[in-house]
Amino acid sequence: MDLSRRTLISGGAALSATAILSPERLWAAEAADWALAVSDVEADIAPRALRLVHGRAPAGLTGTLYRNGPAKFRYGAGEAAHWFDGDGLVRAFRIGDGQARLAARFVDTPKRRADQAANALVTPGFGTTGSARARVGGPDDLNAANTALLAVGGQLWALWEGGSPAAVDPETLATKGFVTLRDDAKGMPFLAHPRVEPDGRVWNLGMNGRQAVIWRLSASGALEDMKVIQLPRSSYVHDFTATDRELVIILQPWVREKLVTPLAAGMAWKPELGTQVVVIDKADLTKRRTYELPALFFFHLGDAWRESDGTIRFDGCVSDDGAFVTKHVASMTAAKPFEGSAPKNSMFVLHPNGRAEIMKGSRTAEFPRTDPRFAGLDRRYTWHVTGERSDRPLSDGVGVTDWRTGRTQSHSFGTRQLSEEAVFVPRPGSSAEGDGWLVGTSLNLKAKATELHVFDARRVADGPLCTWRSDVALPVGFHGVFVSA
Amino acid sequence: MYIKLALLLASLAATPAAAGDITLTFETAEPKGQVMVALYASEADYDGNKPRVAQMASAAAAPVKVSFNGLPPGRYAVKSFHDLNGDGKMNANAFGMPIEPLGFSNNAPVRMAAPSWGETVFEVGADGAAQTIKLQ
Repeated sequence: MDLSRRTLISGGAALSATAILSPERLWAAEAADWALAVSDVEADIAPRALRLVHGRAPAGLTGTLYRNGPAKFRYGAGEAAHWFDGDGLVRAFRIGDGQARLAARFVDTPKRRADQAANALVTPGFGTTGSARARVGGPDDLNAANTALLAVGGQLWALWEGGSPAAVDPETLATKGFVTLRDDAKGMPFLAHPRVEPDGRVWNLGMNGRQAVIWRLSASGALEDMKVIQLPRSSYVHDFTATDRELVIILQPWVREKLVTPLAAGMAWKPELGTQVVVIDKADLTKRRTYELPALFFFHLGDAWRESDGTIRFDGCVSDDGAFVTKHVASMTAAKPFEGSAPKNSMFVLHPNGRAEIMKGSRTAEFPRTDPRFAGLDRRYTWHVTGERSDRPLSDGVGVTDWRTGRTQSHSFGTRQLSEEAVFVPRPGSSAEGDGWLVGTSLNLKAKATELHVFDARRVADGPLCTWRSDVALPVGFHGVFVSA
Repeated sequence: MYIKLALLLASLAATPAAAGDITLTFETAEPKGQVMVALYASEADYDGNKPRVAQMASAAAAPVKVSFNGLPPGRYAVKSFHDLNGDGKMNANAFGMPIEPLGFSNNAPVRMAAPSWGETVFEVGADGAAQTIKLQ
């Protein structure tokens, strides 16, 4: 029996990060007007109608925008958890017959149960120290299930990044439990950003230092393949991208040096390492190419595509340097504002001759989304939030960048709103890229209410076609998915 | 033979742990498979996975009890796991992380890694010792 300290939970790729904020900035915000963005939700949100406050719902838009994000940060008298460590609250914004409804329910995780039972933040996490007596028998004991959602084969999975997906009932939002796709897949990390091919096949990664697991699922959610590969370094990988034929993994120079809790405390920013891009053949996972780029930091990428000469392109929301993470890690508990560079909309190019380049944009952008019908294929549009300012975290608008012209059009909700991720929804019966709607939410600080907006996806600058307002203010969340009815 | 066994069982049930005996009771979530138990007598052996003695017990019915008898008084620690599928191995996922329930003496919690000797060690005196370990 080998129960050495070494073999247990060498995993700890349990990193739940996903955002563009630093916690000290959030904690400093207790008195700021945007403190609502990180407020606690104390109980599930019962189904309720939203009030139409602008425009008219477009005909043909029917379905549910499911969104995930942390919504309970504080237990007892203790310090607030790191933003990335709050309990996941799954929100369902249901649209049909010109009306909209909202319900939300916390994912019932072992972490939430332990913290609730103790009325204290006993569970360690990405930035939360937790209690020395907390049991961490595996990554799912830390799983906040708070980052994103995957709709696959009629199921809805709440995703973290360091542990298993948590299955949630798409109707009631009740938690069904962690998903185990195979016996030896139990507790294996499943990133919050799977790449879904137009036919529904799902690719994903899970990280464990230099090890990565590559997941391939059928459109029905069945496991087709699970392979463990070795990478050249133990980078923090929150997202990856893919063409129709290749997986593209960017190894930024924020690397895990030791496995400790909080997990972020074991990471180090090492710009001298530069950035490596590993491209793996989907049909033969042993075939790979590696490209080199200067140091950069990112959380999110757009879908990639390959051109006829073999050039691979994809966009990402990229910061120049590691100021975000170094300050983020170093001043975890210092309640002072973070002066970092907001991520900018940038284009990566991997040339067939082995050279790589990045064309850095000038416009702030985060939470990039694309037309799912073109995932991995030549495309021109990326929708994203925009308008992050130096004096306040988070964004106040949404935009669409046309990579063919290089132009971005955007809409600002104004200084008293915080925009959340908006997803592209194809118009039924259409086939052209971008023919559809952009559906997203914002937190209206003045009205103290979460709002739901629908845009014509190709005319974002015109403002919303319609806006509904709820009677609750939900903290700013991370990622979502639209499931058409 | 049957009488002898019955007498032995009766004596175990009727008396407290005898001198130098360790009596372990395991709490399991599912009544299946077996509980694998290893006893260590020093920190070096604990860290090096060299048990002084090991036992297994069926987990088909509660309570699951394991005894180590006639031990010299001293300091000991226990590592155990619930071999749910009865294959005799501590099963791990593709990253090598254990996926069967674990338990340590003193119910020392697993916290990213197995607990240390210092967290799991307990004294066994002339009266023996008893522990209840939750496998999770």
